[in-house]
Amino acid sequence: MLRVKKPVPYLMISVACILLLVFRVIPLCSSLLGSIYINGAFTWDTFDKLFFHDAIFWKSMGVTLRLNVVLIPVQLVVSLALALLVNHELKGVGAFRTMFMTPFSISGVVNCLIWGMLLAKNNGVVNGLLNSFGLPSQGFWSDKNQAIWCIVAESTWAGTGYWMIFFLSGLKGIDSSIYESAALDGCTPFRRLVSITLPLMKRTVLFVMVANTTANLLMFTPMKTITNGGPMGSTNTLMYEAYKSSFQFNKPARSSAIVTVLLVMIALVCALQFFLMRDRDEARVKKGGAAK
Amino acid sequence: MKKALSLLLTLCLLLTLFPAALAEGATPMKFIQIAGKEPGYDAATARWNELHPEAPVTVDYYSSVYEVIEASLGIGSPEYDIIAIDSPKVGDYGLKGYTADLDPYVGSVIDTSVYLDSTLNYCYYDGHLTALPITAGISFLYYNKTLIEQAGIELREITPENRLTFEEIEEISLKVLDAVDPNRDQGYSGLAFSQANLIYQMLQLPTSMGEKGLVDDQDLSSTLHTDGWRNAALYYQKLIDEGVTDPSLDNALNFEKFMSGKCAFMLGTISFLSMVSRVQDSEIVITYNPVFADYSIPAAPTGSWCVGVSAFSQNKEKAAEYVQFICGGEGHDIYIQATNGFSAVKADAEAMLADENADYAMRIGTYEVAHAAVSRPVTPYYTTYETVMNEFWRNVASGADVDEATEAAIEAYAIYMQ
Amino acid sequence: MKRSGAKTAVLYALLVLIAMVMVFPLIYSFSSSLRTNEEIFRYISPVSVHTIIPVHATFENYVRVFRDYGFLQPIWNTLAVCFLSVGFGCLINSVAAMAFAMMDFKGKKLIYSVILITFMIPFESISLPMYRITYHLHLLNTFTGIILPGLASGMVLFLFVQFFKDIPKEILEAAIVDGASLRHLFFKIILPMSGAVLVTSALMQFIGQWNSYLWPLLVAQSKSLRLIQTRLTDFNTEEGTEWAAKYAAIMVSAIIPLSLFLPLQKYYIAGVTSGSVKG
Repeated sequence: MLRVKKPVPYLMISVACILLLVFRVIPLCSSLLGSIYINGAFTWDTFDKLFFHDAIFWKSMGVTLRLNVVLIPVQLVVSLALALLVNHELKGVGAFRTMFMTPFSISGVVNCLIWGMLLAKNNGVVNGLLNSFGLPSQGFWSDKNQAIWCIVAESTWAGTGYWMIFFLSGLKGIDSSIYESAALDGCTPFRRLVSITLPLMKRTVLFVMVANTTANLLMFTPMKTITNGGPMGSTNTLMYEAYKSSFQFNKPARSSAIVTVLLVMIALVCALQFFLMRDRDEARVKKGGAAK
Repeated sequence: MKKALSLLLTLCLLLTLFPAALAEGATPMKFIQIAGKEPGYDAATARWNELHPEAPVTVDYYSSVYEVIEASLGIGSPEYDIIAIDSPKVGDYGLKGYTADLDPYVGSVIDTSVYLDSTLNYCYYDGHLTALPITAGISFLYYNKTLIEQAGIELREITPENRLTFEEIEEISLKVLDAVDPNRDQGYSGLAFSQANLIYQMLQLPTSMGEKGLVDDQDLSSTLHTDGWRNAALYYQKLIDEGVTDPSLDNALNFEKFMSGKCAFMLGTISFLSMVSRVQDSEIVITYNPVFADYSIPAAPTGSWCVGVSAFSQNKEKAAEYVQFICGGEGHDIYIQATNGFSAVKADAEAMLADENADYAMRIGTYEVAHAAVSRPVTPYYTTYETVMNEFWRNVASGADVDEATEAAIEAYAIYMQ
Repeated sequence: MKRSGAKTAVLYALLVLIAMVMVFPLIYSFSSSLRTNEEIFRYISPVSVHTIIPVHATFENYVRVFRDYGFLQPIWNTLAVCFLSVGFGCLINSVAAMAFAMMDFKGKKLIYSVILITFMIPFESISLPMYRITYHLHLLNTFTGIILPGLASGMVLFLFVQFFKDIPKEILEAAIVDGASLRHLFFKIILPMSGAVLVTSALMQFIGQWNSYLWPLLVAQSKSLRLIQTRLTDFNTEEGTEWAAKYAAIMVSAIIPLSLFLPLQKYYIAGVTSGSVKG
């Protein structure tokens, strides 16, 4: 650690902290406060209405959970798989990496517009393809059972390139000599992945899990651009419901209350992830000897 | 490194000053408007600025105009003096306190006698005038004459007393489809709803069966638990199942399909008039709104854009004068000429109906405004109503059980109204 | 590590398949941008070769995008905003990161944790209060108002801190022994070593700002200040969407982040790599 005069570190972090305070923390507190401080008085009314008289809130909670229980693992697995794939020493692998990253450079709104058209029930390009192979058209965005999986597809397509890079960086930090000794011991690729690679990437994996969970629980662009929460509320996630409450029919208190619930959920899930990934058997990992 | 930093800082400072420097002198009044209407408003505003150099107006256009208005007026900013208000939002903005009361100016800078009563109807909130109508919107039936003739059908003469029925449209559409797209794989359809699944347009179906758009603004059950609403929803699903209409996700797609010559009929508003010339190789004809055979009630959705004054404006009287200018005065004539829209001014409507040489589409539109128009429900809770009803029609369009969708809508409305 | 020819073939096949899926929507947009509205809709269904390959290719849409829709101004605006965001953002975040990574001070852990948590705050839920604050600071409708809120970022700070923690102590200690001031340490030693993480942060902030939609919509009100994503939605009017022109505009707006990202991705990966691996 550098030894400096007392005020120096505070000065150095001051600009960043002030900016975050003014433009993130204070608006957040103001927003959260809006759910319990109404018309000059503190009240639990908003939460009371939300938890006990609001069937749409609970349905929305169900949709959010249902979506994320599938989406988060799928994205993590696919990104990891892509990272493993791209980690091989192959000619031209850099070009492929680039192509995997292209969805990241296109804005979320545009991605959704394109996917909306691809998976449209009538005149959608994908249905057109299915038909030309003799398969029947699917409802996709118009089908209350399929719409949510369409969102999984769209957001996986859009996000995996981004998460892949983090996993790739984690992979690159592992010394290949470990793999050689593992191979000598007769280790299968799968065993190698689970017992050696992943534990050595723990920090990366944890980081991606937390960031990914947050991003997905807060996602709402596809709902706004394509499905509007339908059909029959099957894609009406909590974040979208909060958005509607504040921007469409002017109920800011309800919006704040929903966001509070969401943030609590995120905190819980992240805490759970930290717990599951805690350093249980440091010795076992250290024996592998990660050198950098 | 230091040099680069200071250069950067100076650049930043300069750039912040940039917009201020661009402003033409002092611009005391700003008008927020929805994107796509530039020709009309720019022309009319230019004239205002000529006549009133002491109070020039600048117009800002946004396609997401509602969000910006919510953000700006929601915090009481005096940024915008004049605001565009879609007629159903008059009550909503009144309730939220965004609009200024225009009663004090009636008789001085505002003259309400020039407007059609039907359009003035939705300009009041709580008994006070809060907006003026700039156009009278109406929708009518477009059809692709060339495509229909291709199927060997000759449409009979359509008059206001003898309108085409929905059932006839259904029948003709099926014949056209059988003729040009027998395997139903070329992407043709029969009837395009240009604002498919949006309550503005879909109201035409139940109101044509004699029902009201909204009976009780506290509870939807009295409105939706009626035969007309149920049958209208079922009929829409029938059209979809038969392949007559294609409830695409995006209404724009429906419109584009008609424009690409692959659709026989379209229910659309007057704003499509100008685009009709884009359709190549096909003759497009405009005619009176259809009715249901058993009811014979023409019920064309009508609504219009209005203009109001912000409650937070610091120039309310001048702003009110501008609003009158553009809705009923010289600015209005310029606007109508530039956009070919329908005037909400009595004198213009009468002149149009009397003029033998006027464009036939304009005459049809004017007639419909006077005799077949049904306006959207006037309620301060319109945004909630609209959100819930749009979802209702989207659910119906995606094939959901009509009764389930109805109950879901009633429940949702009750929850949002809490 | 030797690999069988079969395995290599399988790997390549997978790579190609996935690449096609990733890139297809862009290709479709590009192809649509070269046609007229009517042509796009005529060939959406049934699917044929013409769904992708235009019958009459034309650059008319690109011309219209710049001539009729005035796309050039938003591009310049967005570029200016992005460069300023990147420049100031990297500076602010890296200076703060140096403090967190290399110095001890009271409250460090708490403040750092709070900062990291800020990136979990959903923007839509704070956009209205943020708007109010910006309004009170008289920053509405200014470049400063668009840039300022996005400058400090928990994610970027985190990357810098991880990277700085990795810098060998010996180098720093040697410099201090030689009498280096803090400023000298930062600008002459640390920054030059931080090429990779600077690239990563710069790219993240650039692309984030380029693609951001809701904030510029609310803040950049006058036409002269309009940014690119807001301008893109102007293609949706009440009277129907100008699809072909919109696809052209999409291509134009995607090309800049793409062309920045592609040559720099090696550095991007390296910047993310540092420090995120230590077990």
